[in-house]
This record gives sequence, structure tokens and C-alpha cells, in this order.
Amino acid sequence: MDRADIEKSLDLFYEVQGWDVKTGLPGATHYRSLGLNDVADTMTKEKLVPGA
Amino acid sequence: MARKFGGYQGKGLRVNLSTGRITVEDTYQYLDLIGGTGLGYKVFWDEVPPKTRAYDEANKIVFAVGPLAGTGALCSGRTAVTTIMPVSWPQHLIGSGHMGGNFAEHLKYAGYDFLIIEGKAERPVWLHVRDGQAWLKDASHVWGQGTRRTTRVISEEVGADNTVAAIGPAGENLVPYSVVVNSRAHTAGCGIGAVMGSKMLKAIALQGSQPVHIAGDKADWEKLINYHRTIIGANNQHVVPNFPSPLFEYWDAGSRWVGAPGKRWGASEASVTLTGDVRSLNRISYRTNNAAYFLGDNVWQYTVRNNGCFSCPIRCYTVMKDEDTASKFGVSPIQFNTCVGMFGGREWFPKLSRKKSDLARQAGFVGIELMDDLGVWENYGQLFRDFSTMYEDGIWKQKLGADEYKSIPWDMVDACNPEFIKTAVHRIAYKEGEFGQLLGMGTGYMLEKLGISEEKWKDDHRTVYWKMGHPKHHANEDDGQAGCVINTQYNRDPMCHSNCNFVRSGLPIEVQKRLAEHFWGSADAVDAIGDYKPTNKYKMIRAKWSIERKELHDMLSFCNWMGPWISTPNKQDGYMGDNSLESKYYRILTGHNLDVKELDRCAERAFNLHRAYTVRQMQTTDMRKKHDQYPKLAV
Repeated sequence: MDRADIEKSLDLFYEVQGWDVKTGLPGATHYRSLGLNDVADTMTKEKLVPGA
Repeated sequence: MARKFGGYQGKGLRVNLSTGRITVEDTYQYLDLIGGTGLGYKVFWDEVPPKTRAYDEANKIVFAVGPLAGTGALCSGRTAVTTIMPVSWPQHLIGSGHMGGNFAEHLKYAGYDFLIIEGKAERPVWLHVRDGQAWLKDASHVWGQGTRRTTRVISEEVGADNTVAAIGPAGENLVPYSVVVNSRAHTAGCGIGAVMGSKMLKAIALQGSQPVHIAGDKADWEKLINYHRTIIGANNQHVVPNFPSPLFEYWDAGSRWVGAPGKRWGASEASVTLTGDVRSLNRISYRTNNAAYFLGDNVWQYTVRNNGCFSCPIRCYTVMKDEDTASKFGVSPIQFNTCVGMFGGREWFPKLSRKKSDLARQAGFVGIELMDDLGVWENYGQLFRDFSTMYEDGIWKQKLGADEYKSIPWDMVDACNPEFIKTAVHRIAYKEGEFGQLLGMGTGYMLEKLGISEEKWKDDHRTVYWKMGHPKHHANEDDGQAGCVINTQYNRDPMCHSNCNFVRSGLPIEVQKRLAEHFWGSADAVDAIGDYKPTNKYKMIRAKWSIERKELHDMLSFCNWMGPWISTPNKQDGYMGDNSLESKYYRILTGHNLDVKELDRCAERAFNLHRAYTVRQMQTTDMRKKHDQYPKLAV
């Protein structure tokens, strides 16, 4: 393992989680897909989702 | 609040310590988060402002169990305790401690699925819950006492059939490295003791005889439990013995299945000799002896028996009796604990670190009582590594005032004298001097106060430090890239054993690869320990699954130190375990028909809720750089 390998692991981990690869943030759509609609609304309002 | 599903009592208590008001709430509002940590995260999301700090009145403590607690399901004795922790650095963040023992089933028998503790009392109180009733009572007579005396005094007041969870002086004195302790030695750490102390809540006593109903067919339930017994191994689901045996195809020197034929529990009143049938399903509790595993073969002669949590056949707590050590150091002649809680005493002494010897055993023995009674947390051994690293590098001499430095019996450290543990733990619990305050405040805060960079600790292999105030816990050393990524995800050490229980099962890599292909879609999902090939998607699918099963177990009250049960001791089945055991239990017990994927989805929901709350606390849009970090030494 080297640093590039762990960074690639994080890329893949975020992908399988359905999170944004660049920031490691779940997006509003992802929260909604889990039934967390109020979380999606709050995180969007507070600009704590990818691209906000 | 009628009982809609089996397993659940259908209600929990909200205890406001500021007003003294105790109200009953519905459990089923949390059903899509099952219970345990999921319920705790939801309470925080709904009710606690993210900027809240650990000792603020607005912080809460959620003691929550899942539907399995109080049933006969194996390994179902766990309670999740969720709060904003005073130990995460550089800011207080959400996290959970997890305790076994007897709290979980007694909460159910008292009539409830959860307790939400909020507000702050004006004077010390303890909470008594019995058969659907609850009272806040004056705790002035036990304030200042250790957890053991507190437990005894309250037990004498309420009657023997109860469980008390109490804090010690460390919690009362708001020492971040503090725990809550039930059943003498079962602790939930990460500063929960101090959060209780900040609320002046000394203890919780639970008792009652409310039944836990099973919705499904009782014969199916019994059949499932008996099936579970056939796939269980030893502690940490090690499925091969530590010794060669004609009953097994494989053995592994790292296995905790140490109960070889002929071993004796030498300190039992009538000593017990283990028989040749080490696979007997009626002798599962003979397989493990964690004190002998960690402290050496000599411990067998001091072993009384194994102890552990409600409804668990493993009994990973070794009960030891040693009257000589007890009288020499003024501790009780009976001590029990497991893992770091059991061997931690020797880690105060650099010369004894990781050693198996009689002196190491004595130090462990003394350490158990001091840590558990005063209610001090060791942060997966980080406390001892911080102490030793600073001693070896002369940092204590540089940083402490001359008088305080002289007052500490360093000669005892060099001589590996267990008497030193009493001095050290006492100073931490009572915040005595710079020494006591520094060691108890949490590693991140200690380094900050000393002007030592976190990077220095990360770059020092002796510290095993990872990030944000906590050490690694089954990371790269056990499970390569998967272990490393799992260790980036929480606000404390991840407390995740789903992955290491699989890779450390003792089965050879070719068997593990066959199981990995079956469960995660590719043999490349796992490598031999220390022989890590380049990363791939399947390792991360396994990492995601590991985290979700960790959460699911903490939501159901299953023990993630024992499950999941992906591999088994059974050659005839190709060592193939069962990925659906959790859902089989859940469906029969509750009557709520969630399959494997749907139950895993509940766990994913809980984990994402933890993620969202952490993001709100940190107010960051770059979790990758600001949170999901790992030290250079991980690669």
C-alpha cells in the first residue's frame, strides 16, 4: 500500500457509498434515497451538500 | 402505546434532569433506525443543536438497546450510549460508547427500549427504573464513591435483582477519559462518564420483570438459536483453535480459542479441567480465556471461570482470583475484564508492554480495579501509550514542574511495580496536578496544551495514534485498505469488528477468498494479512458492508465483537457462515418482515445520519480532507 493506493481506496469507498468522490459528502439525492428527507432539506439549506 | 412488534417494549423514557420531569415516548417513531446507535443518532439530529459541546446543558445521553436485548438470541447483551463526546479533537463531536454486561436486558425488563437523558440536575441524583415506573433519587451518599461501592450501595437499597450503571470520581470530576460502568466491569467510554458527571447523574439502576415477546413461532426461534450455536467460534469469531487438534483441519497461533484439552480453571473451588471435546456446543464458554491469551499461560492457575454478558455463550471476561496480589496491592481478590480492560495495567510499564509474564498478570490485575472503580477510560490503550512515549522521551521531565515531577514515583515505572498504577489512575480521576489533568483530558487536547503537534504523534509508531484524538483500531495492520478506510470514518476509534473478525478468523487465505467471492462478489475483496495487493472495488464493498454491520449490531443489541458470523468452525459446510443471521432473528422476533438488504439499508441510513450530523458539527464541505484522514504510517 502507498498513499496513492489509499487515496484510490477512498475514491472507491465514496463511490460505493454513493457519496461525492471529491469531498466525501453525501448529496441530497442520496439522503432522500435512504428516506432521510429532512436531512436532505437541512443539509441543502445549510449548503453542506456537494456543489453548494 | 400498544406493543406493535415483538422484541420491542414499545416505549422509552425521557428524563429531564433540569426539571425532574420524566415522560414516556413511543419507540416506533424510530423504527426505521431499529434502535441502539440509530435511535441515538436520530435523537441528536432532531433535538440537539450541532454546535453543542459535551458539557453543555443542551447535550444529551441516549442509552438505547435494540429488539434483541433481553431475548435468548446469542450475543445480544449490548447497550449503545450516544452523546457528544468530550474526547474528539479539535472539537466535541457525536459518538457512541457500547457496553455489554447486564444493562441491556434489564432496561427491557424494566419496561423500556431507551432512556433519553437531558438537562442538568442541581445536585447529585441517580435514576431508578422499575417495572414501568421511574424516579430520580438523591445521590449525595454515593457521590464521591467508586463505581463498585456505588453499585453495592444502590443494590442494597433496591434489591439484588437489578443492574446498576455508575460513574466514578473521574466522571464526577469531568475527566474526559471517563466511562460509565455496569456489572462491575462493563464500560462505555469516550467520556460518557464525564457527560453524566456534568449532569450530576451518578447512576442508573434498572429492575423489573416485564416480558419481551417473540412475535414468530417459538419453535422457529429456538431452532434459530440452536443453529446460531453451531456456527459460533471463540471470542472475535475465531473459528479455529490456537493449538493443533485432530478435531480441526486448521489451527492458528493468533486464535483466541485457547481452551485446549487438559487446561484447568485452577482457581475454581473445585478446579475444572477442560475435556477433549473442545467443539462441544455445551462447552462453548470453555473455548476462550482472554486473560491467558493476553497475559500468558500462567493465568490458567488463577482462573475461576469465564464471565460475560447476558445471553452470550462466549464469556470473554476471564474471572481471576489472586489473594497474594490482592493483599499486596490492596485490591479485591477477584477481578475480571477482557482485552485492553484486562491487560491494560501492564501497559503503564514500557518494559512490560505486550509481554506475557507473571508480573504483567499482576499489573493487569491491579489495573482492572483502579480503572473500573475510579471510572477511567483508556481510549483503546492510547492513555498508556501517551504516558509511556512521554516518559521514554523525557517529555514529563520537561513539561512538569520540578516539585510535581519529583512527587511521581518514577522508580516504580522502571521496576514495573503495579503500585504505580494506583498513583497514576488516582491522579487522573481526581485531576491532580498537571500530570493527572494532562493524561485525562484526551490525547488531542493534551498535545495541544503541551505544544506538541498532532503530526508528531501520528508519525511515531509507538503511539498507534490515528487522528482526531483517537488511535487506530483494527486498521491497516489487520485489514489493509479496508481497515484503513474504516478507521477514517468515525469521530473516535471505529469500534468495528465486522472486518477483523473475518480476516483474523484463523482460516487460511484460500478459504477466506472463497468466502469473500460468495459474500462480496470477488475473491479479491480480501488479501492475506500483511500481503496487500493494490486496492479494488470489492475491498471497499466489504468495507461498506463492515461499517453497516457494525451499526446494525449496535442497533439490534448484537455484539460486534463476536459477529458477523461470516465464517464458521465447520469444515463440512466449507466454513461458510451466514450473512442473513441478523435478519432471520429480526423477522422471527419482531414480526416486521425486513430481509437482509432492507435491514442493511436501515444500518446505512443510520451511518449516513451520523455522517450528516458530523458534517453539520464541523461545518465543512470537504470531509475528505478535514475528517477522513489517516497517518503516514498507515501506508
